[in-house]
Amino acid sequence: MIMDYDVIVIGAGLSGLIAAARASAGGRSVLVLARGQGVLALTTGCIDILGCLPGSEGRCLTDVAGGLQRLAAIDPDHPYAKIGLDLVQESIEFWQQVMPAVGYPYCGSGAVNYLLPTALGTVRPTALAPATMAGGDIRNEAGTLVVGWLNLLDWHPKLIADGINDLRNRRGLGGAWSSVMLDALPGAAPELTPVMMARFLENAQHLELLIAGLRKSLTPGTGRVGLPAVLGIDEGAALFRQVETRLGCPVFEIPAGQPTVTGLRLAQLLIKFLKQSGVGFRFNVSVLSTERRNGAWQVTLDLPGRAAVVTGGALVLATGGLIGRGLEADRTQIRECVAGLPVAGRDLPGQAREASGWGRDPFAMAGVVVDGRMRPVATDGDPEQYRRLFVAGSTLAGYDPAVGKDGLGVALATGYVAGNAAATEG
Amino acid sequence: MDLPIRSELDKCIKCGLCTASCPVASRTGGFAGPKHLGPEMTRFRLDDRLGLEAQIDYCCNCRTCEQACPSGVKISLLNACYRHDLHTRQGLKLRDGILGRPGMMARLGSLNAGATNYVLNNRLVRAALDRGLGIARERPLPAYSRENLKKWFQRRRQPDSSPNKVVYFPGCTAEYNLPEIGRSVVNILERCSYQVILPPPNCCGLPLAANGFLEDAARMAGQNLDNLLPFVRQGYPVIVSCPSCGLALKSEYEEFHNLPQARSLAANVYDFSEWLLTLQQRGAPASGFRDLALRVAYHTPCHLKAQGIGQPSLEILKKIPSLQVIEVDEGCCGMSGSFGFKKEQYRLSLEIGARLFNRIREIAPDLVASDCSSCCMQISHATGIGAVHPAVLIDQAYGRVEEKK
Amino acid sequence: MEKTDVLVIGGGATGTGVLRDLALRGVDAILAEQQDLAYGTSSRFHGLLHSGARYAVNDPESARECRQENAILKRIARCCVDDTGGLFVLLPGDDPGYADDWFAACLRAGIAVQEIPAAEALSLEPNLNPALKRVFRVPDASIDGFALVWANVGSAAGHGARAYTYTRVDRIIVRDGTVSGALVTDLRTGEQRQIECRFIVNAAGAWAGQVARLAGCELKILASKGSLLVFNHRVTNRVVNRLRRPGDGDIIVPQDTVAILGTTSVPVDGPEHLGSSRAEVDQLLLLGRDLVPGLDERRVLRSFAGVRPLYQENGGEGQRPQDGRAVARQFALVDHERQGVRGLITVVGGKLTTFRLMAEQATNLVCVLLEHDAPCRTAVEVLLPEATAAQVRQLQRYFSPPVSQKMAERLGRADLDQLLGILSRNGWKRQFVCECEQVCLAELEWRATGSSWLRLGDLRCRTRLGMGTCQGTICAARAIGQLYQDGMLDLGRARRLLGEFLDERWKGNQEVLWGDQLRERLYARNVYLNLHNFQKEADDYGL
Repeated sequence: MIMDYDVIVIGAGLSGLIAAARASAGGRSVLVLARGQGVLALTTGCIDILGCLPGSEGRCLTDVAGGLQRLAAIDPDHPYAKIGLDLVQESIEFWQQVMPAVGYPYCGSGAVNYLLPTALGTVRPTALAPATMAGGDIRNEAGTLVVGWLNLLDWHPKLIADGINDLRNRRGLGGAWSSVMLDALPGAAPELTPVMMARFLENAQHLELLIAGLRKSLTPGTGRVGLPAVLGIDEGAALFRQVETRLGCPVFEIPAGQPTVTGLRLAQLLIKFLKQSGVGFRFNVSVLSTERRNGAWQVTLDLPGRAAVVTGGALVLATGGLIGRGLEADRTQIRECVAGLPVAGRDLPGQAREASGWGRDPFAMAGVVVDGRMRPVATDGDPEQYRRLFVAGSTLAGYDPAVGKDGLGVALATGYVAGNAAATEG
Repeated sequence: MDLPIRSELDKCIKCGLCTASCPVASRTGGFAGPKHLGPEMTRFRLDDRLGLEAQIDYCCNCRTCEQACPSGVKISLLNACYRHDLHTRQGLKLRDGILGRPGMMARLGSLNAGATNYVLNNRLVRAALDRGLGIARERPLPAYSRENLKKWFQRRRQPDSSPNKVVYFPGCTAEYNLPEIGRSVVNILERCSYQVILPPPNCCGLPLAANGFLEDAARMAGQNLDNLLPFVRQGYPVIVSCPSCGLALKSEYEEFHNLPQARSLAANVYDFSEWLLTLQQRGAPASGFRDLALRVAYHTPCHLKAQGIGQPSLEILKKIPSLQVIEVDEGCCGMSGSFGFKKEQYRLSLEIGARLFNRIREIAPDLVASDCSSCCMQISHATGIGAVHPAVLIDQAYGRVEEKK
Repeated sequence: MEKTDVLVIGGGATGTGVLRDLALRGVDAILAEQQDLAYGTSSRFHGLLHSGARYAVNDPESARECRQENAILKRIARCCVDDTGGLFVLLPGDDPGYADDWFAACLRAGIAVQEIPAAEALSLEPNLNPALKRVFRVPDASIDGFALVWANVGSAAGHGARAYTYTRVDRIIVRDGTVSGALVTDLRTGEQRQIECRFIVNAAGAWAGQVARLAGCELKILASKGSLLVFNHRVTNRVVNRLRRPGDGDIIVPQDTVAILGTTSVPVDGPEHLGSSRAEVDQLLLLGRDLVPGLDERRVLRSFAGVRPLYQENGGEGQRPQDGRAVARQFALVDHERQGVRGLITVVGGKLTTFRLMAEQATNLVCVLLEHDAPCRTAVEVLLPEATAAQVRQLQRYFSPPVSQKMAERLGRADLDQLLGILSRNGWKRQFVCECEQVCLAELEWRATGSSWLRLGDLRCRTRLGMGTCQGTICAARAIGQLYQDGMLDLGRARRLLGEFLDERWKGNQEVLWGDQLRERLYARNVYLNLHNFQKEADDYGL
């Protein structure tokens, strides 16, 4: 049978994009199908490999490599434990190869965590951070000035500076952070979301205004400047470098608002890169059903007007979890929407359960159970029906990124493994 | 419309991805964006005591928001209903009535195309249109052709030879303003051994819906269903060359107007390039392409993206020997049908497309290709580089020389 | 030591109504509330301003009281009443004979009831069950309990009364059988102080029994829990009642941008707030969809429960029904002199609709005992002056017409002046802190500086912050950030308030986690736990 593509990936979040990148790098023809933009832009854009161990009550993990060993031992259902740590490491290396080619390099080895500030004045552990953010580690001794503008929403520099000083004091580091609030940049809207400000600053004249304002705010004690993540979207890290060079002082971004500029940037740049590398994309399509027939996957699309079919040799399901609607919950059940795969935690909505929101959440943990090669297990029927079907990202059961700070890390690792398997397994 | 509105607004989780993707909201402080205008304000509008607000004029109906939304909210449906309410309750703008009826204006304008074009290019007339109606004077208006597509088609009528028949719905532009698009489409379809049927010229109704004239749009849709369904029942596909017409026929007739049988029409509507690519994949005469030594930048119109069919024109253009085609991929051009004609949006419309125009200038192509003639107008206007429908290039690659009029 | 004539205990509709009535009559009074105003039943009901029709058959006396008070409140409390009108809908399968009895009873009670054709009803409310048999219009309306209670206090304060929130009464001081004051604790500072008074009015609602015991008096209050569901949008624009004997799940009340479906009735042990059970939620949805088909598919934001305090007539000895001052049985006025305590009276029971009447009768009794001769004016004096057209025009310089209209209604004339002042000084404070309910930074600032509050939830009740679709996901961080930036919070308090607020919002949707509300919850967790790594407990992050 003639197939349209070697590999069809459903979902354009990080796991889907990585699966597509991996399969494409393996020489396969790849089509990515996506319904919406994906919820990658609702993350920080950092690759959190592991930030907190289960049961550690919110302690930030710094030793990622050690943490992964421990996690694999105590939490065998976690996707990392299933993949095996060697492949997790391989996926990190893959990321470190891909991103310079994308033109948006990430910093960090993956073995230890940065401790980066948040827009709420708390700290967040992450292993791989974009170059625009990596300079913000709160353990750094430099005198740090957090800058804000009156018209910018979701950004409170005093809360950030005071919050980080409080954390530094607890660690005996002494407070070195201060803040300044500037008037709105001339020409900017009176109410500006970080995304709007990023668009505003993509104009070279506006960026000049920003740089001039920052210059005036610097004091002799300023060792680095903390900005909201607003330094352009489409230009990658170019505006960031320009600001840093012109200012003559290290600068770092902190993601602010939702969606985040750092998340949007990553999503858009990755998609553009993959398109240029020959990966096909079809946006604005819902998948009605998938069926394995004559040794190929037939994916039926619900296009405006009618259904259409594309065929592929392997299928990667990276459709997202409940937020991204790869999983859907009604009043009694959670179901997997595309292939009808069995869901661990299926009956949660109708059951008495504890979901205070703060701890590991049963709904977040629900999802599809896979083996170490991302193949669905515990299917009720014929195992042949799931041949060459691989699942990646938030559709998977067994982890809660809000608590573990392992969301994009799992997306990277499982997307990598799924893409690898889809490209190679016969 | 009441129930669908309620279920649409309930889907929103307020993540803001729509507003972040909106080409208008990210570039103007006057517009709080699709989340606010759609699901957020619809909750307020359900309280029938409350007054209405005018931000809707900023929505250019490009539907980028719907493609970004992770919750599947049909924001354009919420907005169309709201525009309709606004018109019902506050009266409507003559200008929007005119911009919403390109077909009617074209029929009038084409009566004496030369005179109309002369008048519409007159500076005094443009100043009057600007002041009186709010149609931006800087914006070139589409010229009307001396011979519309229907006249040409009748003049050169081919014998009923082929057993394979397709219906071609040219829409207003290919009928009145740029019939060369229509001629190319007909030529190519005939070259692929199809007999082409042209239904009576009619607007698809999308500009009406986009300007809030839902009832008129529904009436137009009803006429088109009457015109097209008899052919569909005989198993003939309906081909469109305008992405907005395609979107109207494929989705709006059902989603906005809830017309019976809209679905059976929609299932048989194909964008021209979508259809041709399918034919080529089935082995149709793609081999017939001649060299076309041109450097072409391709821009995907928003309404084509909204159809979820990928980029069939781009794929076909890539097959033309010697044709160097570069995808621009910088989002909305800012024109969005009637939006860019409006005086108050003219500048904004150019700002929205600024990245796209810069990128095209960088590429410095001989020509720009885009399936949407309103994108083509905007791009030519902003960059000074000619822009054509891909069908025109494909037609040339198939070896046709434009006949002299 | 602080002195007053009358100490009112309880900051619900009744207590604040008594405070206002006393103040308008020139009696010096103080109100003490252990939590924020309207903490109890006054904010935990469906928000119906009764026309009386729901009681017409079973309780004609209540029906008449409601009818009168409905008319009065629509006149004096336009700031908190949304005069939606109401419908009674007879559904197939419900007793048609009851409809006739009910109609006759409404006429007897003087309620302006009018039958309308089914088609007209369906054009007014297209989402109603199309199979409905008969429909009647009644003058039901929707009333905002928070706003009402705040307006009462505002009006009373304008006449010299004082109201203390987060002030718990620890002991009622009785000397020689007569009330002489109370020991109270300010829960914010922990300081205890004494308030000297001649009379105490116990208007503590579901807590009235506990308050009476502080003076050594017995008062039997039965508690009945009623659960309700909040929908994401105005399901109907009018109050919709099911025309049958009042029962579970038979009323939908539009409230601002949302709609409330009520109610269940479950006996409970005490007044403390209880959640609704999943079984109650399911039961309400099952019944609600009879009125509005597909109602169970609509998005439910949260469930909540209120406690109806039911006074047990034979439980207390101090009641003096024979003395002529006792009120109608729907609510009770108890003078505890019979139990050996002079100067303590309890007013309990009743409905929010009749709060003013209850307050009037309680105040009458106090005035008789005080030998203070002044007529009640609460039925004639407007509660809170409405925003002027000029103010609304000014607001429209910053906001769209519908948003301006809502803001103006929410704030009233005096507060709107304050808001406009802030906006004219700091134009950027037009930014919305809450996008779902369109609450701007200026409104937050005015409520945070112009009233006394302890929790972010208190500001929520005064502004609607966090009461819309996202249930705090966007606004909680914005509000805390701005209050902190403006110097109104220290770091510890900022973190505590944020955690507390999210906790409270999330508890309310614990039993409605499916579909899009489940997605919203997970999205909120993504924002706070993941993006912000906000930890409610371990805020040192193990550093």
